[in-house]
Amino acid sequence: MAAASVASPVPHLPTSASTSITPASNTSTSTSTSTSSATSDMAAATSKSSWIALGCEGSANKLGIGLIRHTTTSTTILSNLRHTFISPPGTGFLPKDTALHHRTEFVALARRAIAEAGITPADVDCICFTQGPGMGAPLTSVAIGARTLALLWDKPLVGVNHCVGHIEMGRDVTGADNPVVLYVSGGNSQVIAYAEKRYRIFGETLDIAVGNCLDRFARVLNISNDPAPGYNIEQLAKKGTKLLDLPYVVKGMDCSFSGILASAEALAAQLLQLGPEGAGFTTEDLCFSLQETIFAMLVEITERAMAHVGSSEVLIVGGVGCNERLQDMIASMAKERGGSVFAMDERFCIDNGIMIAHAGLLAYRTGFRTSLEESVCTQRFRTDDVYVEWRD
Amino acid sequence: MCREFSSRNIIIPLLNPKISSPAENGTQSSPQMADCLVTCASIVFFVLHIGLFLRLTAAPVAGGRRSPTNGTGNPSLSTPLQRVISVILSGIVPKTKFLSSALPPKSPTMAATASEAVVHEFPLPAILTNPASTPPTLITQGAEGRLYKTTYLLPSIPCALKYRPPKPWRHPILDQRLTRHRILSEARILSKCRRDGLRVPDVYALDESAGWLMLEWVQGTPVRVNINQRLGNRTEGIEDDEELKDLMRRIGAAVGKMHSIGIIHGDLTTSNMMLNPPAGQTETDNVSGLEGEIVIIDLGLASGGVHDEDRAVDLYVLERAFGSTHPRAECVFGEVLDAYKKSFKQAGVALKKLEEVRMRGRKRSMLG
Repeated sequence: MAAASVASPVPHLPTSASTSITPASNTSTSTSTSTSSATSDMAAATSKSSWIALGCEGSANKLGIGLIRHTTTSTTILSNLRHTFISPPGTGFLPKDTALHHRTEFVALARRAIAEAGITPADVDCICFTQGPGMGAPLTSVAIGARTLALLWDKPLVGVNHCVGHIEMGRDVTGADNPVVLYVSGGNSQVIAYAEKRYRIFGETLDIAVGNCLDRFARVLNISNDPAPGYNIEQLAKKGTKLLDLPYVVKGMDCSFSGILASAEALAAQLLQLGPEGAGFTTEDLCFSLQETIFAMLVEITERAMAHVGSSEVLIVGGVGCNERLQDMIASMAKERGGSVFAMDERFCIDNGIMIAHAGLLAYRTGFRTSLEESVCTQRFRTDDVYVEWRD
Repeated sequence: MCREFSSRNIIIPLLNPKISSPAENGTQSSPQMADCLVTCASIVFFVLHIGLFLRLTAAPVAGGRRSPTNGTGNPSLSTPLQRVISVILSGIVPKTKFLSSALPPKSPTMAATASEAVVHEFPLPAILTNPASTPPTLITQGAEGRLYKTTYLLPSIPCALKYRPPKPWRHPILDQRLTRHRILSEARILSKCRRDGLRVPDVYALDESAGWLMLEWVQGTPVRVNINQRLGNRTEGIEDDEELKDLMRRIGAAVGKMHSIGIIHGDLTTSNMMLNPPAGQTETDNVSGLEGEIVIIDLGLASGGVHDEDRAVDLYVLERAFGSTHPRAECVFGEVLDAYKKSFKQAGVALKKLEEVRMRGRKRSMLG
């Protein structure tokens, strides 16, 4: 997942917590293209052919800031930086600590993003930020940062739905035209398809998100949160062989993970108490069984949505979408249906600022603005609340 | 079609010993047909009774006495049935073929679809590779598996074969567990619906280890298609479309009936309901495109349940699927719930619960 994670303890964070900066790769590829930013923003609005947006993301434990350039035909990533708040094993990230992390890192990360993109604040057309869904305190911290930049540089604000950010970035990076989207992360699990100007949710979790299920399971077994609990479960699962019986809960195109988590936690407790010999299975087996069961459920609801809307393309987005086992399972299913899967690596799957900049800029170009008064965040922001003006 | 032959009389005892149903939809076969039927029925009866005997001695399936969670099933269970089916297909079908040549062609649409055997890119389930079986047509690749159209016993009795192929991406143990469970549970639930008077496809035969379930062929189109055709490009006047609203009421009544007999569908969408045009009417005669009886299909995720909570969630699944599939027709969805309310005594409580289900959890919207 995180290809290069540099541990850099921040003094005023909880003592054992560490953070990691993930410099996203393909940066500064087109910094030489010096656009004529001298022209007035308003006057040239109609004849404009190049736009730059800055995106701020912080709905969970990742703070991401990215800059993107759109021309009428292409998109270029100018910079894409991420700083992750990692809590010690056995704990999750709490809103308060995460918000503190975001507040602490915001200015430095924004400066670096601008520097790496090789532009000046004057070149930026709009400031995009995550308006929801996510954890309240971290969202608010980042929104304050975004508002500050907007006022400082006198730029319009664009509030972005986090899920729509994932989808639009996925479509752009993979070139998928009209796929069924499986959006799986620590906070969301949805199967989405586009219809009549909205991303419609066909199926989703009825309780906790799939990533949340994995994260909380990792806590019981004290699996490390660095770089991500899901990544470490994936590595353990590769060595597992025995399939344990876990509940399999699919209701139509929806599914539920809380019962599986409870079962897995009970088995984990048994394992901790009796040891692998006494319990008859290992940590690896348990990780393997959990992955096999929940991913089978995800593949099933995705397949149902594909059959329902008559599509054969799937796009996987969200942090859990990095999991190669899940990607393989979906790919195998899509292949059998005569279709294909579009998946991405950690740069775009895991929360990042660039996706917010991208989706925000798409909306900005259709004339969408978020006034300062409206720039409030919400923990619950449905994917289908967004009117998708920029698609046919 | 096949229902006019009332093949149900012959076949149902195989799967559901409790039913010895007389023809429910008045039999209107010609004397000529009746003769053929008597001839082949006697053969079929003989074979099926052996099959029934073997089956009952092996383990009762349709009686529902085995718990659905009993995953490690009896492998010998499928064998007698499989044998019966292959005997039927290899032994009787050639004879009935001869007999059926005397039958008048039943319907022009039927004949047309039967001859359109598509080239399969998927491997066929073993049951359809039998040389005596009618060339199957792949109807759809559904979410769970594939639906083939073929024939049962007589070349003139069309049937649907639901085949759940092994899913290579799933762990084999999990795959087998799910496939077995779903086929058996679907067959049990279909026979229960039938017994309690809900219009669903009949169960003809099954083999849960090989992963297939053979069902009555239901004429018509999925309700989704009818609604979409009806809507066309219209954006106005949808909420005043009486015929569409009438269809909504029929949907509500069908769902209500299903809930009243203690069945929860688990995947209610407009794709999982067929609109069966009135008898003697082909699909093109259906002027409004919305006439006919609602036949609920695909009960692969269904379960028994009389809790208002389950009913409410079932309705909620339908409501949301409807909204995603037919966004413009959302304004008439209220008719479904109105008709549902009138369909059985407990419906009001379930609808009350539906409001709760809508309001809770992550599905609610809390903008601002």
